[in-house]
Amino acid sequence: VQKRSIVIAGLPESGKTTFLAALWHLVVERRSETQLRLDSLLDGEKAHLNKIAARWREGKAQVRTESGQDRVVSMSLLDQTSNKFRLTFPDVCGESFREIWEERQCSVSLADMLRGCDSLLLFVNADKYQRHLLTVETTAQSKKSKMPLPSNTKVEWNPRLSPTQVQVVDLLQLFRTAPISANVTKLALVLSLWDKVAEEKRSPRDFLRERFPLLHQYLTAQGEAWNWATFGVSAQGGDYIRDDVKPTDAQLRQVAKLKKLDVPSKRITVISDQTTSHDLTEPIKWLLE
Amino acid sequence: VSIDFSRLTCTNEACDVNATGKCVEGIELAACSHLVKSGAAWEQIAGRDDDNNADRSLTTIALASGECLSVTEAGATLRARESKIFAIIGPTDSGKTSLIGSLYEMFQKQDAPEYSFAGSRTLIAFEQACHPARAVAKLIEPSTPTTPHSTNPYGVNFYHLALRTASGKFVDLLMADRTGEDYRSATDDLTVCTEFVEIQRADTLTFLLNGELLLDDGNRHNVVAGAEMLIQSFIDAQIVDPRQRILFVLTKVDVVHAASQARKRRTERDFAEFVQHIQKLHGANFSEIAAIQTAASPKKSNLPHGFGVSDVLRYWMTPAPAPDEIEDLVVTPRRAMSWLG
Repeated sequence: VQKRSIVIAGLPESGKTTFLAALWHLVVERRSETQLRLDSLLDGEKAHLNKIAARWREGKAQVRTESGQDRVVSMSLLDQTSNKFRLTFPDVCGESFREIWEERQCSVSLADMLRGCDSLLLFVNADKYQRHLLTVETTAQSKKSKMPLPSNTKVEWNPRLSPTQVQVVDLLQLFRTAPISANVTKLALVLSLWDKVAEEKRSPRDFLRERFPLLHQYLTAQGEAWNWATFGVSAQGGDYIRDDVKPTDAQLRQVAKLKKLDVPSKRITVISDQTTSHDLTEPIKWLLE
Repeated sequence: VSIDFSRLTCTNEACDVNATGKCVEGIELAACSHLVKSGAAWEQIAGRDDDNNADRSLTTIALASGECLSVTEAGATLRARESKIFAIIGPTDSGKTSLIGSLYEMFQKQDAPEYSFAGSRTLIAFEQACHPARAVAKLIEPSTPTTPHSTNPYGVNFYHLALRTASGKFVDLLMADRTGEDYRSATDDLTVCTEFVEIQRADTLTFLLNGELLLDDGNRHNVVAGAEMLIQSFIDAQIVDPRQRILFVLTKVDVVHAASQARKRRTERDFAEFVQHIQKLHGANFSEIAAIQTAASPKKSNLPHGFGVSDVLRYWMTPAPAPDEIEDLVVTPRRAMSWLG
């Protein structure tokens, strides 16, 4: 049995827990052809995975992982030639990654997880992210559309206001440099909520190049020798119902439609530069190669 | 109670605090941002008696600040890979920080054909410098960032950008930024120049001339005279050498272009004549003298954001022509110089 550890990283609300929920559903359901399949339920703590997968099936959005609730979940999987893998996924709350950029500090436990992992599954929300926008651009836009200029209320600098691509680049840099000094080089970059941008008909790599050019250059330049691939992932197929927000009628209709699918894993879409499938194990399989 | 300094860790590669018990930059250990704030030795140094804080410091580790690099840190970068230092020189409000910020912004918008962004150790510093021109600052027009007074020894900040060229070579750019007041004081007292480690080590001395002031009847002569005096001061203080290049940058040309044709022509002529004058006076002291116009963060919409900035980068990245004859360098050994390699 080969033991591998994959750290699931990403800023808050980048889709980490949803991915894990859908992945667990997919491997235990076993009705879809997947690159990796369940070996046994013998190992590991399954209560958390069962809980989040149940919410996923019900069309309920995942509850935000609270700080201090970091978990290591594990799965025993087989590849198509029946090689056995025991995968552990440290599932760390997004706030811990935000803290790295904003507070310039990292918990000792997360640093240890990063040092001990074989690869990274890094999530970036393809729909909701902090864009890079200049004042001259918004002013020109307002003038062109004859809209009123934004109010002149000076907002002081705060690291949270920085473009998402800058924050993600710095996370990757900080993982690799002292004092974290993780040796990890294999990176699957997951552009989550892909259903929201799918109609743009672009490959994940083209999307990354156009929307996150700084991150794309950083990875392509190979200054830190990342062995990386990009995947567009829609792990839900649409907006799920949140516990804390009253759903709209459109949302209720969409969730009802998703729940009517006979095979729930059909809600999932995974796009790589070559293929489109419902197989959420594809990025994991690539990381194991 | 004695402190076991050997258990301390510093993120600054040049610092051997665990051997000497002293910060290489002479900073109080409790205030040093590079020291890893965990472990019993750190607790003793910090003198913390608050249980919560102590618990937290034991469960977290401090990461690199992302702020500007000190002379020591810049020196470590120089030794690690092919690097270039660019001294950006100009009086207060001449646009030094805008130029640096705008250069970084180029890589945020699209893939650059000639150079790709390959990393930066000062992303926090860049982000702060760029904030006044960003929509999130919620200002109707971009405001001008100012160079913060450096708390580093030698009073200079280094912004860092790692770039990959089209031929696949990596180059680290270190852009030195110090307050305009520091440079101005050098024209009153030449001894101040010895502190300007960035001038002594720079590949290109980039002098900024404020186009908005050059346009103004009351200020135009002072703009030119200030730059001339500064160059003369550097030469007399023997902190420049013939291998270095000078790049004159006329900044804020969006304001110049928005003026009447007559005033615009006069300003451009003033700038061209100034460059010719310096060439005539000091051409032999430098390997090349060139000039570029920029509008790094235009307030007028007549020019695009970052106008001319890619030309500055292209010039910086082009290897300097070898001078016909280079005299032996007079090197003044100093601590900071040795740090900068």
